[in-house]
Amino acid sequence: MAIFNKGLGKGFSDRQREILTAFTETLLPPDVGTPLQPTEDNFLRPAERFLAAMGAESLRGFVMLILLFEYAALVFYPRFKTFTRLNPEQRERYMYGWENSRISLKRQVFIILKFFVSFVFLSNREIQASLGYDPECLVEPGG
Amino acid sequence: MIHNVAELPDKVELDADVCIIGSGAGGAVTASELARAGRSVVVIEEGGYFQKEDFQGRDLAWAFRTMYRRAGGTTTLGKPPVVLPMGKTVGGSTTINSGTCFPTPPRVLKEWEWCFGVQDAGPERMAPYFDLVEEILEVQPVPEEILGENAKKIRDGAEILGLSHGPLRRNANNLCAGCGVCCFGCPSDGKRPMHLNYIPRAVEAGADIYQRCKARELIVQGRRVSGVRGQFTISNNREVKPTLQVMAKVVVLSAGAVHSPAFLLKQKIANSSGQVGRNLTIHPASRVGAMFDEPIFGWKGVPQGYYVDEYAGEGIMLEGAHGPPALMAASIPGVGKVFKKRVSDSSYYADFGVMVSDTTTGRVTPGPRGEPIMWYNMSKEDARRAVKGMALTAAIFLAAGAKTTYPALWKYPEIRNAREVLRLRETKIRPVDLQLGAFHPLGTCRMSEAPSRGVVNSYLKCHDLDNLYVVDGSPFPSSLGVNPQETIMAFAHRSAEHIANVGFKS
Repeated sequence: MAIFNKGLGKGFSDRQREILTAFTETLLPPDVGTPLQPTEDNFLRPAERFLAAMGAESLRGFVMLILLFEYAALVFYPRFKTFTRLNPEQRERYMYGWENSRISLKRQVFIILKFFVSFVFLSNREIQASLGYDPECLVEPGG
Repeated sequence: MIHNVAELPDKVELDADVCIIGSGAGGAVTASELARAGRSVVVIEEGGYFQKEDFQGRDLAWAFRTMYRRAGGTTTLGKPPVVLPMGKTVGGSTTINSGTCFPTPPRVLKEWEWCFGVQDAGPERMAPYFDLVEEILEVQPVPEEILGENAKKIRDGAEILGLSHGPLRRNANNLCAGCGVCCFGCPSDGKRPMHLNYIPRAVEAGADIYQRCKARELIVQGRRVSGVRGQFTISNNREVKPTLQVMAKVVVLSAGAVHSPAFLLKQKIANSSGQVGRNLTIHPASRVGAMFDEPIFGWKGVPQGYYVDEYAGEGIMLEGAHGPPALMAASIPGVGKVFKKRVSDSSYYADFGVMVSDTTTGRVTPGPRGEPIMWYNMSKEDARRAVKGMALTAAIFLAAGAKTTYPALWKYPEIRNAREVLRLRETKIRPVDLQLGAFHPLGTCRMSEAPSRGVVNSYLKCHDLDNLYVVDGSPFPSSLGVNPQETIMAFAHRSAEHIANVGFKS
């Protein structure tokens, strides 16, 4: 599975999709609260569209960050495995380590990924509704 | 009229008295006032023209993709990086801001007079302009019925702690239903951005507005700008066929405090002072979340409807900040099951913003393809004040009954009681430990009567070029400490008067 099979700036490759899906399922596990899982329709395609609107360089930058997150596990997590090869508990501990790292750059990379993933995934209307948010107020003023 | 790219010939060539680049708080007011003074006015706007029907039934991602520069992802480089979203519409950022209106604090106007030699802009001189702007914008305090529970919790907490507080004044009339989506385009026309007041006034008086047209260069001859060249674009800045050239007697640059200096620097003009792009202030802002036992539904009601100004004199202003769960989630600490549980409890989550009047100054430089790069390293002093504001906000939420609070701060992801608030206040926090956003870039074409110290004079006319004015947030020589749209509009009125009276004589 090629890491850059679509070429940087043109959309996610299969490998990048795998990493991003694993990141989202670890950040927002489907077995807690809202039962929805990230799919092509509710997450990956909207994510690509959003990054495309930010410009090709943003998509390239974002891809570099998720790859960094994936492969840094070889260095920062004591199993010598990439993030996607860790089991769910290990993934969560690895992710927790990024959010609470003493290295500010790691925290900043993580907050970018966390913000983007939670924004795109939770912008889905079905998921918003499950959280109690009523997007109908966008349709009916005063709703 | 407002022109659509589809209706234009391949080459648009125009002559006008005034060409204005940008239609935000500065450009729209200038266009309106000069058109009403009988001048022929052409406005070039990079963004599209949106009305309330465009905002209805849309999702959040559409709003960011369509009306924000780089889909809202514009960020400063430095320690820490600061997200600084900017609008790109007919109306500029006023289409997607929260609508908060403050006149310039008198102490700031006096500081500009005494420290920067700004003339004829004291509190008494500016008061009629603020009154006029407020009348046109229909500014009023947020009514109780659309305040929302988020603001009411802050009100309750501030009252218990004896702090100065009140509802914010906004450019919103009685149509505002408090549906909480001001920053994604108002679907009821309750909020009154430029496209509902100054732009129609300008169009009624004969101004021509060319939307989705990016200004490419100023045509400079000696000490004069003789015109502007532009290129029409569609989504994602893709260029399309028509080009625009406007020859004008006066040119007004109103592209905002990030793009105006980048535009001048790219062309290497108007910078004999060396001040173009320098002195960037941004009002860095952080936030504190809070979890309550009872539902808050923080997204209902005006998102920025309340303030606590107890420490405004120190440059710390607390202002409401809330939004849909998708936007708020990343400010909730945690990952995995803990994070998901907290996100699932979004309706119990409240949130409030802390804005600092910054002493730090950054810089704007032109980057690849002319796109600006913002450089900003927050000072320890500003970080200290941000933390003081966050501690105060946490204390207010706790006083109002929150079971826990979440400052957007490393090391202190949760504050649960008064002892922890005190500990937070006494801890030294590095700027890189803060999570920051900012919304008010200012100061990058500084106003001063001395050409060696500033880019424009007190009437916003460029020192180096006889018929170029810079009318947006970039002339303000120091941080305002309050939301700047009313200040920009008031100074635009004053500048338009000056242009109408003397601008065409030189």
